[in-house]
Amino acid sequence: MNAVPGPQPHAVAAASIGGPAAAPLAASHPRASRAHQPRRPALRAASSVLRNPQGTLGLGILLALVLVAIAAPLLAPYDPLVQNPGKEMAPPSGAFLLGTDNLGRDLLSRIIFGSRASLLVGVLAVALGATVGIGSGLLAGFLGGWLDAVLMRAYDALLAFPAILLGIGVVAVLGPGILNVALAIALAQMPDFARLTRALVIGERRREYVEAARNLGAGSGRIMVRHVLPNTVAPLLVQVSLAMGFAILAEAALSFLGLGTQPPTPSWGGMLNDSRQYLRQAPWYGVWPGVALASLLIGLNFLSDALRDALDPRRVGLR
Amino acid sequence: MVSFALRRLAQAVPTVFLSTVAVFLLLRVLPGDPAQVLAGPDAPRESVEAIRDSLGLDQPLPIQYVVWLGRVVRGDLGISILSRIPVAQLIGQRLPATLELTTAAMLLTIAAGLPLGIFAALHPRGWTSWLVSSFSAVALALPNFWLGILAIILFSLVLGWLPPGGRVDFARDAGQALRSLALPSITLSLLPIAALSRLARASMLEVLHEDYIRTAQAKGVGRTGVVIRHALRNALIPIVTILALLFGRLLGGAVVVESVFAWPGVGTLLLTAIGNRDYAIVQSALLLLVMAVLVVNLLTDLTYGLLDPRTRSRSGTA
Amino acid sequence: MHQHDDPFGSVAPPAVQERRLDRRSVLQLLALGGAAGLAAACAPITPAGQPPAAQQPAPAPTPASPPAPAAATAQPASKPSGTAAPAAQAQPRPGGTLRVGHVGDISPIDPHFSGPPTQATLWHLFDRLVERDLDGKLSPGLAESWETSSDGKQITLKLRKGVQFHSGRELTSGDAKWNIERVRDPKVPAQQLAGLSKSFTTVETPDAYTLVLGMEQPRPVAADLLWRLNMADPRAFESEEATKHLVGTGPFKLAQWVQGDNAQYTRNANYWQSGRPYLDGVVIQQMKDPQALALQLEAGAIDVVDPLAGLTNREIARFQKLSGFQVTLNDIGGVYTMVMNTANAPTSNKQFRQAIYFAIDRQRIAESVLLGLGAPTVQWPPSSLAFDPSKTNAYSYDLDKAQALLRQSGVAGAEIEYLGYATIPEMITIGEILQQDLAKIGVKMTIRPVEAAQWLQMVTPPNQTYQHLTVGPWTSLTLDPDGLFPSSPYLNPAGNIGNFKNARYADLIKAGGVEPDPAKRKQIYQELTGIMLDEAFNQPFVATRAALTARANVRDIRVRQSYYVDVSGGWLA
Repeated sequence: MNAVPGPQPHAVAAASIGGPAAAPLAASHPRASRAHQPRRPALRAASSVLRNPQGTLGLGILLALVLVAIAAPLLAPYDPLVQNPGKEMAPPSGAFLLGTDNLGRDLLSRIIFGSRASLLVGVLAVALGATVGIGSGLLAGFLGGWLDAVLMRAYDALLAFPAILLGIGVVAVLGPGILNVALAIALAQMPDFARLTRALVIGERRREYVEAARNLGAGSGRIMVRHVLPNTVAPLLVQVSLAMGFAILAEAALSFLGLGTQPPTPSWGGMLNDSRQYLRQAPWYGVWPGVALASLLIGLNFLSDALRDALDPRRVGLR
Repeated sequence: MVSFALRRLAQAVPTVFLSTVAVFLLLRVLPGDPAQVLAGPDAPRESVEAIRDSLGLDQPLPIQYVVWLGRVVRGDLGISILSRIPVAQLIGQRLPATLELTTAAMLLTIAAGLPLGIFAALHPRGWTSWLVSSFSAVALALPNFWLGILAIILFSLVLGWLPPGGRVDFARDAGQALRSLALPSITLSLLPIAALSRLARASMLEVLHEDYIRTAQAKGVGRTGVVIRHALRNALIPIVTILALLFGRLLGGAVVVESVFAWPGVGTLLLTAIGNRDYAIVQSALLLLVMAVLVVNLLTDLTYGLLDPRTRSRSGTA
Repeated sequence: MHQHDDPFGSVAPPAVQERRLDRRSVLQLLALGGAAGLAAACAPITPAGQPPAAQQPAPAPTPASPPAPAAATAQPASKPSGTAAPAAQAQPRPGGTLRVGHVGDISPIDPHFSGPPTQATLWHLFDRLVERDLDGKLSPGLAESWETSSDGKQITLKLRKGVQFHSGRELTSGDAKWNIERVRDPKVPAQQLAGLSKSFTTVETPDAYTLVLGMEQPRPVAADLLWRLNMADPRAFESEEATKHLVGTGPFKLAQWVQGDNAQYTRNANYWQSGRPYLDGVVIQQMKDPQALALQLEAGAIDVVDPLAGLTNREIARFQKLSGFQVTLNDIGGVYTMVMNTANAPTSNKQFRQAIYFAIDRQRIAESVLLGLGAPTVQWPPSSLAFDPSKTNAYSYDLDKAQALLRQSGVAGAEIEYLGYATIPEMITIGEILQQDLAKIGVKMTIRPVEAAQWLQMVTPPNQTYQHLTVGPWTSLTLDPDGLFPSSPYLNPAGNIGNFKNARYADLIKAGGVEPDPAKRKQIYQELTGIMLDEAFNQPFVATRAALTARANVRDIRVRQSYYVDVSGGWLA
């Protein structure tokens, strides 16, 4: 069968979208912050991130994981799909560095290849959920009125929907497939992004700089994008890294509905999920995908903390 | 304030209505048929049809919907397709357990997540900040069921400190009730603690850098005073939002925890009902869930109003 | 064993709840064909003909439970086969509550539902007219005696006097007649029993304690109704609520029902078997997740696990070695079977189907998926009337043979879809093994996992929508084949999962049901087995067993027919 899966197109896509998921937000910021602290070049933010050891580490971890996903066929010691009868559930050893699974497949190779599906789903779902959620949250929070009421009530309804039903519904209507998984997960995440953004915007709206910009004749759209959005970046970045973790785990949950990655394709969420059966007998089975996922999230968290610091115009003040 | 609350409640009516329509339609397009589930796989077609007729599932969808809605409006949540037990009774049996679990988890979340986040914000470049970031990443990477199973292995099997599951009524034995509540609520709260501490840290950092905080500090207000009286209050809007969201998620997240710890809550009832395509239970339970989320969000928005009067007038124009 | 792991939520971050769907539907399917409560298995899977009493309790119960001579304290109706705990020399100790762990929902909530899911859960509330053990031996139940007329067309039963329903009313022949006739109602989820019940064209009650069942044409399998049909109180059905219908004469009565969570039963003090039951009560605790159930058992919160819907094979294997626990394996004629849709290309091609059956690595599945708790097979258990000893090697794991058949079939570059019942992870694992082997002979197979209710809908005749093949659990193959062929979704000539239609096949099934001569019946069913194997639409490829896993202090509970766990003589040491 597909002995060694070649580099898959989506892995490349994951890489390009995947960089720091927050890139667009970060990019938009410098211009905006000019309102109160002009002449702060994007380069300075980047170099600030890099000067911050936490930021460097975070960026390093993320880049490494993206590289792993791209170069999976070169890095994996074995074909992740090849079964080794008689070597099932082997503990870590020289031959299988991280041990084997219930069909005798090399866990290290499966973790390496699993990064592709997991990163892809995580990035797609969060990109979609965050874009729609943040956009509508901005509108609702800034404009208020009936638009706010309609959007928020719609999200209330969506929030109350059990994600499982959303998942089954999406398959029933759209059919299975990795894009649809991302869509189902994004649907579940939109309300979080929207509500949070709206709350942040409501907080910002009263600030002097908004009034000032308004008085200077700036239109609502301009104020929103240039002034309000950048000042809400920090908590939203946090939400992005939280959402990424949810999405990657959710993918596994949905695979039971025929969504998600289908066997035998590995994914971290799927492996974590399978490992539950073997927690008592082969704990390492679940440890590795957990470590992989945790390191992705640690990378994201460190980077988003550093970005927050770098983007904060008043940072120097307090300490 | 009261009129704002009333207007918000009025707005909720169409939300509830639309979500019931959505739930109703979604359930009907799902593959799977409650009559088939009831009859068993070997039942001849006429048997399945007879059961479907007796359940009223042969009626056109709009009629089924109106019949259901009419009953709900009169306070009748319907009866389980499977057991013919009134849904209100089924949910009533389970609700206390779920409320107990989610409330306990919520309290733990606030008690642990908020101080962690504030502390990390006060020392943004210190080791606590690293710790909060790493803890949140690890907590997020551990699925609930994993945590639950590990907790049982450690605290029940190895150490023998806590019961592995089951619920004890507070009225019967408060001490035992607390002991049996400990593992499920801690398991359930770990992830929200991670999320809250991260967001609280970010929000606090934003606020701590504001001019008025610096002014307050310059005026000689003590650091603790600044944090509590000024910074926290102003960072609360996003924090309250995230708490509201977390509460909604807790209700959902409880399902896994309920099942690992044999906790008789609403989550497992709903899951079982979805599996059985027991439309009556799913529709009514979802209706209640939607209303719970609406109420929590209403309270959240009212809190915004309390925290910042200007929001009230704005949202109030809706 | 059809324990299934639970797909459940697994991960379930708050955002996406995985539902673990109830596995009831599969459980029903297990019962498939009539298989419902039957079981009967005298024959252990491997060495044919070994007496059932030899089913040993798993090695290594604690020293506290000494291996006991079979049947030490046996009560009149007790047989040692399948006893969970070796009957200890000690006297049964009254008192205590037995906590039974069960994965999934207890449903349907109907005393007459004819599938196994209710057998470890609802049956404690009821008695049958006759009781049957795993070895096929019948013993008196609510009927003290019964007699079949010489022409085989009439059965006369004498009912026990003074037996009370939990409602306090005395059971009479009229109640028995009502129960027998109720299952004929198409709205009652007991269609397997309906087929048996309808064989009795007359049901007469000459007096309150005599029941006479008459047939126009003798049908050997019809008497199975006597030990498969629970006797419920007709008055209880005046209520609409299903749980109010659970009024029987059994050793326990319903105290509380928390749908989807637990059911609590208390001791029936007026039980007709004097002294029994010894337990004060039984609690059926429903869990969503086999791993969680295993932990609850290990931590002492559960005493015994339902053999049908309980632990995964891996957990059972672990408990076998764990001190403080006991595992007994019971042969109830269970298998996993592979079904192919003969209506869709390329599985419409007979040689192609045969090629796939030659690509199933039965040995590996038995060892690495069932962990030795199952055994490779290709057909009926040896004790079945339909077993054909000349066909035991009809299929084997032989990729060369598969390749040759594939070439003969003329199907090239085939791509097929395997519908996986995701609620049982073993079904997906089996798919992954087959997938790799088929790839070696140039057949590309994709695996499509689906949740329970959807799987059920996709495979159920007459509107199957699955593409090519699926694997399902099936029990009670040791039953009289006439209880399986006409009604099992795997076999039913009028519409089966494989979409297989054949006039000769249908005629033989009809003939087998009414043929009085046992030798001729055997011949008929063996020919049917030949058709099954040659046409390759349904192939039991690995035999499974029902494992009863319990704490070491649980005594004298036993698996009887199918998955019925009889706890009336059970007690806690």
